[in-house]
Order: sequence, then C-alpha cells, then structure tokens
Amino acid sequence: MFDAITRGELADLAEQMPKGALRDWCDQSGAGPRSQVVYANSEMLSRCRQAVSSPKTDESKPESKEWKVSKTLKDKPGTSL
Amino acid sequence: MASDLSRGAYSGKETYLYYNSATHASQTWTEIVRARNVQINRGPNLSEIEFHGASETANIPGYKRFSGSFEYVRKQGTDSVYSALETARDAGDIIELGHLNGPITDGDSTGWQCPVLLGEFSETANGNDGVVVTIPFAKADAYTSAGASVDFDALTGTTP
Repeated sequence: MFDAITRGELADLAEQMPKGALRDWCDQSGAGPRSQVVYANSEMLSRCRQAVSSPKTDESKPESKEWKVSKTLKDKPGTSL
Repeated sequence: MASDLSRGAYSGKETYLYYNSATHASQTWTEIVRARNVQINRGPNLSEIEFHGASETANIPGYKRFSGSFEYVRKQGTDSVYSALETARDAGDIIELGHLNGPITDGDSTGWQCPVLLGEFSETANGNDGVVVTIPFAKADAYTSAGASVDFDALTGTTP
C-alpha cells in the first residue's frame, strides 16, 4: 500500500507528466528536499509511472473521433442514432 | 536462539511518527524522524452523576476525544519537516498524523492515523539540553470533498 521513494523521484515524475490530478499529486508529494524518503500510496505511484511510460492514458487522451461523430449526429435536429 | 519466541513489549524508541504530505485519498507519509515522547489521549469524557439516593458519585460516558502531543528536537539549518509543521500550525491547516509501532514498510506494524490541528508550540532552550519543542495536537473537524467525515482510524504498515 505504501512504497518508499525519494521526493526527487516524485518531482521528476511530475515534470514528465501532463497536467492533471496525477501530476498535482506527484507535485504535492514531491515538494521538499530531493533526497528525503517518503512513503507514497502504491496505487497512485504505479498510475503515475504508467502515465509517464505511456503518455496516452485515459487522462491525457484527446476526445476520440467516434465520440465526436456521435455528438455531431445527436446535435443535428431530426437525426437519430 | 529460540526462533519460536518473539518479544512482546516495545519501546517508544521503536515507534514511528509520520505526517501525510499529500492527499487524504492517496497518502504520502513522511517520517518525523526528530520526534520523541509521543503522547495521545483517546476516549470519552466522563460526566459525574449525583443524586440524592446515590451512595457514591457515579459517571456516564460523554463525547469521545482525541488529542495528544509530541516533542520535536530542533535541528540547526534547514529542516523541511519542522517547516511543514510550522506552516500547518500558522495556516490552521489540517494535517494527518500517523503513529505506528514499526516502520510503515513492515506489514506487521499497527497504529493510528488522524486528521489533526496543531496547537501552540512550546520551545525550551535550557543549558546543556537540546532545544526541544512540544507540539500539541487535537482531532480536526475534517471532511472529504464528498462530505464524508474523516476520523481517528487504524493505520497499518505494508510490506512492498
């Protein structure tokens, strides 16, 4: 549930991440002396690491084409899906 | 060595005090290495009941309380942990404290966590003694953004 990590590593993770709740959490957890060891929530940490290794996560992914089409059709009067 | 025997009692020196430097939902615990003499008071206030026919004054339990204090041995130069505690005190911010009977990275460690407010720090500088600050704390009236109250709770360590 908690993993040991330095604040420096957290700050580095935050720098590589797109803006969002995950980055905010990393920023907050990483604030302080770089060498200081903290014990971070394992699940959040793995989500942050995943977000850095594969930046196209759900959080950073732009709206899909499929959704855009559906929305357009829905907005058009007299069109049913 | 009797490998089938284990020690029962543990000393204060073996305990670990932490504060949460991230969010309540996803905690990041930072050890307060220079803390000592952690004291907590937890339980109900007892209200005295007296009436004509009673042989003795009796008591009934009132509201439960949680409060306590710890000492912090000051360090020369930059001390990010002490600064964080001072900032929380001055801003009146809720800070979560956790106290375990072993390291947080040990699955056998057990203890408590609670959102608290820090009270008036009392610093003593005397002769040969190290400069020590007594930091009182008491449970905060804390709620999540979803409206759930956050109270005193158990905290356990985990083996990564």
